[in-house]
Amino acid sequence: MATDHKTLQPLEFYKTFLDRKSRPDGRKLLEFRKMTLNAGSIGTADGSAIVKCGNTTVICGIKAELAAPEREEPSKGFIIPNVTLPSLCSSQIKSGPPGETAQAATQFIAELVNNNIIMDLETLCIKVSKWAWVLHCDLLCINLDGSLLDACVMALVAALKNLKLPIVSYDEEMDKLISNPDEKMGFDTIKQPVTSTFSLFDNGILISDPTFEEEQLAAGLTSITMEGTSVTHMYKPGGCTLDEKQVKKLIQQSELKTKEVARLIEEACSSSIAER
Amino acid sequence: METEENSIRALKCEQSVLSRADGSVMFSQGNTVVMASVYGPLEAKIQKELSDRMYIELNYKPKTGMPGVAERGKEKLIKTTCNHIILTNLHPRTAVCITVQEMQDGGTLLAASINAVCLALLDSGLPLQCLVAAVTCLVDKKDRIILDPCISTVKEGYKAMFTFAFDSQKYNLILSHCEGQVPYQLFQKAMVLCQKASHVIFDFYRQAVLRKFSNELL
Repeated sequence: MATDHKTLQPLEFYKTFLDRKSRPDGRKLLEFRKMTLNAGSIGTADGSAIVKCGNTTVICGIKAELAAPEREEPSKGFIIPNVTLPSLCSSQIKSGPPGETAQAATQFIAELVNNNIIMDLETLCIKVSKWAWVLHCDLLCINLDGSLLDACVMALVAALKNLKLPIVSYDEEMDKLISNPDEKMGFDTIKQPVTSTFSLFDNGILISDPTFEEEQLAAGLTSITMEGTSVTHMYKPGGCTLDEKQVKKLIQQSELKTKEVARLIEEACSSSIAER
Repeated sequence: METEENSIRALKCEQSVLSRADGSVMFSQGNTVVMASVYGPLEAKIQKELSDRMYIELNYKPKTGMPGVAERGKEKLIKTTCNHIILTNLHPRTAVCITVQEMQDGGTLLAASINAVCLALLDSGLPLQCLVAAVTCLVDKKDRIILDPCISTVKEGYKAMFTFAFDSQKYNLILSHCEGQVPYQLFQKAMVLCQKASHVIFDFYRQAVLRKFSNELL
């Protein structure tokens, strides 16, 4: 009976839960799903991490190479994010060239990178206008169940913290790079942004960490990125409206998640270092 | 000086510029010029057909070259905004095709595109639940907030640039898009400033519609 109701009238089915301040998976309205994080699980990548938020699973692998910085910004390195949604991750995703969801997610991460929210790109520079690191960050979603951006940002930050690169220095007289592959170092300037996604329903109800189903039914989505207690980015692509009170409530909730994620990343990174 | 810096640039528009489109507009905000067209409701492609509402197809065409990932990002922002303002459930199993053509970039293209799309939708006569007005503001390196910056101000460099869109009913937030980062207080201040400025755009919409219909009556 309940399954029939769910298939025929998904929104009405969902609203009966919302009216009673609960959700079909047993969570409260503003409760997050359980998150797990494993850093350094891919041996062939320079840095990697696997994140699970509920069922949503994202793998991030980072490959580094050297290149000349761009002329306009000679003291900056590059972080090139790429979010891939293969057709195995959800029934809604078709195989073929990247769809809208994947491109929008890539664009979102690229914006965070360009706004120096992830890390200061100048620390990736080895020699001004000659050499800089290029970090190809591939984010692969293997199970899409909502809140993709949250998982992507978390995986990217954890993978960057896990990144180990050979120490390279520039010899001016010889005009070449000198490196010692045995000595590796990480970057300690990586910031710790945390993205929290919320779904909004028409009647002003807010729910946090929506599943794929909830995202489809909701009237709008908002992603708030915070670092510690300061809001660094607010992404609200249309959908239903928000008033100031609701914005405050969202920020409070994101703060809670930020603490939890910061703890997870610290734990995962320290355990992966201990393993080496 | 203060008032001059913190006001919206001159708004101009010409509705029904395309003869075949159901709604079209040439919109300029200062030096930024955008053209938008609306075709619909049309028959939807079978894969795109939605059983309970209208499918919105949005194309953003840059001035030169092919649309890339950045344009896709813009398309998504404008499309979800349209999804809110159009009463999509009145036309199930149909599609509406909205095209935004960039004509001249004078800064604040995203805001201008949203305003142009709103005017084009008004021109097409599709039932809307509210109007939307988008305003961009910029926080410069001295922490001053500049409303509706022109391209030269943008090129000078900035700490952050925000685009907000508000609805015409309660002036609530529909869209927020950020570049750069500033303390939250400043962000909030910028949002309030944009909210006030959106009234100017709503007044402009009213005048545009009045002018259009008074012309038709004559």
